[in-house]
Parts: sequence; structure tokens; C-alpha cells
Amino acid sequence: MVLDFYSSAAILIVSVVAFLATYATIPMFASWLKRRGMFGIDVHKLDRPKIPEMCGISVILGLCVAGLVSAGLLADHFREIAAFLGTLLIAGTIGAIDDLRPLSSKLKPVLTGLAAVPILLLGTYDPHPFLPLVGAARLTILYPLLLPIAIAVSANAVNMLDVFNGSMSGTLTIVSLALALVLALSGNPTATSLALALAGSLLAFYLFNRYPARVFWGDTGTLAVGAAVGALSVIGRIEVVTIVALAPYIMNAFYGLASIGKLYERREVKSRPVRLRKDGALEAAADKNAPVTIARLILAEGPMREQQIVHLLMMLTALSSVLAILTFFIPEVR
Amino acid sequence: MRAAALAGLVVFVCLSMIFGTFVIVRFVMFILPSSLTPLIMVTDVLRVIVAVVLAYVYLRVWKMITDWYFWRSVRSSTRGKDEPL
Repeated sequence: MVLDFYSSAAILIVSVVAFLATYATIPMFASWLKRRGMFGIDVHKLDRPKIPEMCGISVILGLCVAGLVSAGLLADHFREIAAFLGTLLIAGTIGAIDDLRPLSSKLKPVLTGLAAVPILLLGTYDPHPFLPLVGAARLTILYPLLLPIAIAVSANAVNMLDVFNGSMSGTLTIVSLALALVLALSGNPTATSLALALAGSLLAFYLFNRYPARVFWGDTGTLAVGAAVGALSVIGRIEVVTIVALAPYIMNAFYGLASIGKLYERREVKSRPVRLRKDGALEAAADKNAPVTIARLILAEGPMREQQIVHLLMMLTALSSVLAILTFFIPEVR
Repeated sequence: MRAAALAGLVVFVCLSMIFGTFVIVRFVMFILPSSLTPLIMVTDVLRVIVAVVLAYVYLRVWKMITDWYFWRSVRSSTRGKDEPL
């Protein structure tokens, strides 16, 4: 462990601040949004309750407060924190626009790619990503070109797994903790503080978003935290570790896109991948036109309750996170 | 059984991402060494094209395995029932 006592204490304070700021603002935002009629229908419940949408704003707020505290405590790394918060805010704004006035399936990924602009402008990237077994790759020209695609992929892949109560907040908390551990081991206090702040905020949100959900993320929150994870991997130089940790997200996005054959929005897909049964359990749709998402894959062997699916997703993410941590230790082969 | 099968799929995906990068990079370097063309830029572009093709082949294999697992599971879970899912 390379982090000194001061950095470790600062990181702990930042993560606690993120948790408390998010936890304290969720009920406030939830009641405000519900009063304004901004709610979504929980389609995986028999009584189809109305749940306040766009509550992911609380996580953005919590991370902004934590980022400012981190900038105060770890003053030498202001650029990295500014790039992280810039990416978070741009993706959050695009998500808010999508929540209020739905964007097309092609425009949304293009716009989320714009969230990479703060990283590019502030130069908080290294075009020599470390590949396991291979070592540092030379991608001087390609890296800045791939960066908007990487941010768009992480933001939209995270967004695509927000399908059940607590599925995204629970699994991404595990991923953030794994990334924080790897960043701490690599001796990067700023990126560690941001990863733990993300974990703190996500944990606070999970407490409200887990089954039965009292709040929904909205695209505001899912796109913002997805882009934040992408930014973290670039700023912390842990690109491959992040990709491995996000394996269930990548599997879900890839299966969906490959089975539909093009970019799609959930609302545009007529054949749903999962069906609600009369006993409240969920089952895989037998329709050949429905996308083969990870949820449908889980349900292929038979029906399950929503919370059981989420627990299985969390277990799979824990497995991919352990493999991601192990990836960090893979040496270069000459 | 369900958890074990899915965990196996996640492990396969993670390992193939880790070792796939290595295989692709080493294969591309082997068939396209730096001395192949006098222009480094041309070699680099060719390397990217070959790497993308290899990655695409890998993704097709990944999808075939998933489709096989999914439809086999659906068939076995609906076997013996009066109605399909």
C-alpha cells in the first residue's frame, strides 16, 4: 500500500461526505420530483407502483460535494478532480435532457461521448494504457479518438443494466470498491478518493433503490455514474481493470445490441426480454425477436423473483471485480 | 446450476478479454512487424485493422456460445410443459 496516513484519512472523509450528502438529499429530491409528477412505473410489480424518477441527481450532487472536499484536501490534483466532475456533469445533463424529452437511440450515445471533452481539454489521460501481459501500449493518436467512444460505451452500458430494483446501484457499488482498491494499490490518492466517493454515493442510493424501490435513477443518474466510471478508469490508468470489472455490463450491452442488430432504446423494443407472471415472479420471454439481455439469460433456466435476480447479478459482478483486481497483478510477459 | 453456468460465462468473458488482448497484440506484431513497410503510420493502420477483425471474430464466437446456452436452457426449462414460456 503506497498511500500515506494523510491521504488515507482524506480519502475516508471524502467517501463519508459523498455518502451523507447523497443520503440526505434523496428524500428531498424524491418528494419534490413526485410533487411535480415526475415518476416512473415499476413494471416488474403486480400493483405497478409509481416511483419518483430522476433521483440520480442526488448522486451527482453528492459526488460534486465530495469532489470539492477532495480538491480541498488533495490540492495538488485539481485537474483530475475537475475532469471527473466535468464528465459527470455533462453526462448528467444529457441524461436529464433524455428524461425530460427522450433522445433517439443514435443521438444519445453521440451526445454522451461529449462527456469526454473535459478529460481531453485538461489532458488528464495517458495514451499508454497498461495491457495485461503486454505492458504499456503506444496509442498516441488513437487514444484521444477512442476516449469519447469509451465514455459513451461505459455510460450507456451502465444505463442498460438499470432494469431491476437495485440492480445498477448494487452492482456498481461493488465495481467502485474494486476500482478503489486497485487505485489505492497503485498509489493514486486522488483517483482512489473519487472511486470511494462514488462507492459511498452509490451505497447511499442503493439503500433507497433496492427492492422494493422507493426511488428511480432516471437516465440523469445512470448516464452520469456510467460516464464517471469511464472517467475514473482513464484518470487512474486502469482501463483494462475497469473493463474486466464491468464484464456483466458489457455482456448485457453486447448481447442486447447483437440480438437486435442495431442501437436501440428500451421503449422502442416491442418484444420485452422479460415477462411478469401472475405470481409476481419474472420469466424469460420466448419471443425470438426479444433482445437476449443478461436478465433474460439469467431467467432462461426458469422463473425467479426480482430480488433473486439482483442478488445473482451482484454475485456475478463480485466475481468479475475479483478477476479485475487479479488483472492488476498480471505482469508483463517479454 | 444456473449460478455456476453464469459464473462460468463471466469467467470466460473476463479471461478472454485479458488473454485475447495478449493474443491479438502478439499475433498482429508477428504478422505485421515494424520492418514490413517503411512508413510506421501504414503499419500502425494495418495493425489496427487486423486487431479489429480479430476482435470481431472473437465477439462472434462469444455470441454463438451465449446463444447456444440461452436456447438450450430455454428448451430444457420448458420441456414437459403444456404451454411454452
